[in-house]
Amino acid sequence: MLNEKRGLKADFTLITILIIPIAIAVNFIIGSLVLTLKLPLYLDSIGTFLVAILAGPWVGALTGFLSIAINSIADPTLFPFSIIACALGFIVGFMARRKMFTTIGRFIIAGIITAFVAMVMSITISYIFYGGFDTSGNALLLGTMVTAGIPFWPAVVVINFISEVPDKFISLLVPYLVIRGMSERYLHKFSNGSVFIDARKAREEKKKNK
Amino acid sequence: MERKNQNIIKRWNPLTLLFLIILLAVFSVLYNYKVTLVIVMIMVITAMLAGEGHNFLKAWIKSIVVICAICFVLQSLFIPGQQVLWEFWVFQIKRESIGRAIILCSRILGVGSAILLGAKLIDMSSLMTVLEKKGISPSATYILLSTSNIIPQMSKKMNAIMEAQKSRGIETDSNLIVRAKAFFPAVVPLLLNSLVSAEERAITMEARAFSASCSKTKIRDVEDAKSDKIIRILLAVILLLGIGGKIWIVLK
Amino acid sequence: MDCIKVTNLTYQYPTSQQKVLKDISFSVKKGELCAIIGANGSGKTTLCNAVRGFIPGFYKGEMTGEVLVNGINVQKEKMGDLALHIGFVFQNPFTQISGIAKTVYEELAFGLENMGVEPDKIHERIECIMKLTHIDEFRDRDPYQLSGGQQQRVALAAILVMEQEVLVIDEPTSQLDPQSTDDIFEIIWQMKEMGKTIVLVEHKMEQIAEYADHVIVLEKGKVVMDGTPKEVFTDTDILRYHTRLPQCTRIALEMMKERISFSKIPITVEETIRELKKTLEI
Repeated sequence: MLNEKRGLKADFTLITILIIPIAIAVNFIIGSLVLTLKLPLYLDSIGTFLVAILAGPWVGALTGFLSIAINSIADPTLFPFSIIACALGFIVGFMARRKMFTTIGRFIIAGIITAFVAMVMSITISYIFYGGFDTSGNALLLGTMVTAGIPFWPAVVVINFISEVPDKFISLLVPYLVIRGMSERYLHKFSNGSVFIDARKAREEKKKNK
Repeated sequence: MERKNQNIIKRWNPLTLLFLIILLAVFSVLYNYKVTLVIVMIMVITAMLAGEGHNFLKAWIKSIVVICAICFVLQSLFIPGQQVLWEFWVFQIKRESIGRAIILCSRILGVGSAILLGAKLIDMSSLMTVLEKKGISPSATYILLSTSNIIPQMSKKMNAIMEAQKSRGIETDSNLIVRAKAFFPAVVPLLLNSLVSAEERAITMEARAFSASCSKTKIRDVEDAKSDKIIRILLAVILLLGIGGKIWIVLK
Repeated sequence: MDCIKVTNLTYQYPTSQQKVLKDISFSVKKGELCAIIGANGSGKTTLCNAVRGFIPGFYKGEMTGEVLVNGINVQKEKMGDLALHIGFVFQNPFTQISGIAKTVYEELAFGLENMGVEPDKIHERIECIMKLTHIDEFRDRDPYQLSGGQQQRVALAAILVMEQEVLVIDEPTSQLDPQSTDDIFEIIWQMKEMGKTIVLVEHKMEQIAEYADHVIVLEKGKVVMDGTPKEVFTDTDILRYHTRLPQCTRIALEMMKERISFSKIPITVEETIRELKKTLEI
């Protein structure tokens, strides 16, 4: 059937090649919008997750990596974190292919997995490269907590939990909603599109049978 | 023809410049802060020779120096250690933490300045032309070039959307719920628009023979002089010597 | 000689329940300007995509029938290679930019580079097309920074410079102001003079009446009328298909209701003046 060919090469169709730069720009712009609105989140991976869900793990990984790599021109301390963005793009794309974004229940599980991976990796990278004190706002908070006598590791876990979990959930929720509202005609163009179309058909049939 | 008017650095092939940038970045990671300081001096001189001295320094102070300062303060205050050098209020500055701060900042300074210098000196589209000639796929160069062009474009669009939100009375300095509410109406149309435009862009690219099976040509001819090749070999040798030297120091 | 030949073309989008194109057959002769008109949703854009070979390759779905362009079976040819034979321009000027060119000049060169044209030839052809389309004045500007009308002229020029014999142009002026619209039409007429075969979807009936050789009316995915502008616009059947008539024809028809007789129904301004003079002198 359509779009059944999957793999590194088959995932990079013309339209995905065109959507990668757009997704990177979306990350960048939503990131700066969040700063303007002074929201207490990052939300700098909405574009990455959107293309990962639509076009699979390889495209997600590349988009995530490039996105943060480009940001590190302005702030080189971000560069190590591009590994995280790359891994998250991959994982989200992989889960989407395994139908993890077709129902609310699965979405929540996928969100928990993503947030968990993000948390663990973020703590690890920050510790390896910066001893836990990178240049984000978190480091200042961590410093304050440590100075106040709270042990290092519990403080790190709490801070990363607060900053990663809601952030990753919202970052996944926006693409999830956008894809729900997307026409099938458009979904067809992406390698993961048939996953969502099949899920819709199955849902409609269930309704009919009832 | 236009290259003749250019100064000594910019006349280099972009690939040669890329080699130089990588060399400088690697050296500053491998060796201590004294070497990094020398390297940063070399970078400033290179930028000046290229006629980008003012530009480079301005961006450098605004980003790299600020980030290094923040990093230095955070590291020296909070990284644990035994030997207290100085104490005030609840803070202690320790010898170990100062040591780590210097190592880390030296690396950030070296790598960050190198990336920044690269961004100022290397013309993206020339570099991509060279890479394409070396056999990199046009799709890969398209992604990189298009990304660097599209960000200013989309920022403008976002500003327009934000202006519209403001004129509808959503203030960026009102309370959190109001600001969060402003977020979704700005973001959803942005995402949908960009998806639709990707589809039409694909049609445009097909119409312009992007995926035609014939071999491509380039109107831009990036000069790769003999001197460029020699410089590149020299840089590569220095790089290898540098890595070798570091290994030797460690083993000793 | 038939340059474009469509036989029994039927098409359905992958997800829709209904067929968008139903058993369409028509042919366009070499050097002809063929206008496709019809109400919104009648399948005009889909038909353009089929002629260019984007259907079913790009949009998927089920297609039967055959489209031949210069003897090439469009659906069997590789989609990318068709760019060498058929030029394609569509509505939205903002997305018809390669996204990697820093100047209008580079934008025009992009298609030719992809075709593998020698650099010397590229420069020559660009100079020529820039004069023809009057975009010489913004050759060094960033294509993103141009107005919609200017961008559309650049988009058209970027295709024309590739010198395909067949052009498919889908509502090039629907998002433009009147002045830019006129500029675009002028370029299209010039292309016709140069002997290109053109398929044009347009809503501006006055221009079609004046310049098209051939008009096809689509209604709900079917060809309902096919003939010269004169045949189509003077046939009162056309009013059933939710298309506008050229203003002159409308006026003439209104006047005929008032019992002012015309020896023939005019479709262009010139004809109207001639007919009116005749009628009034009697």
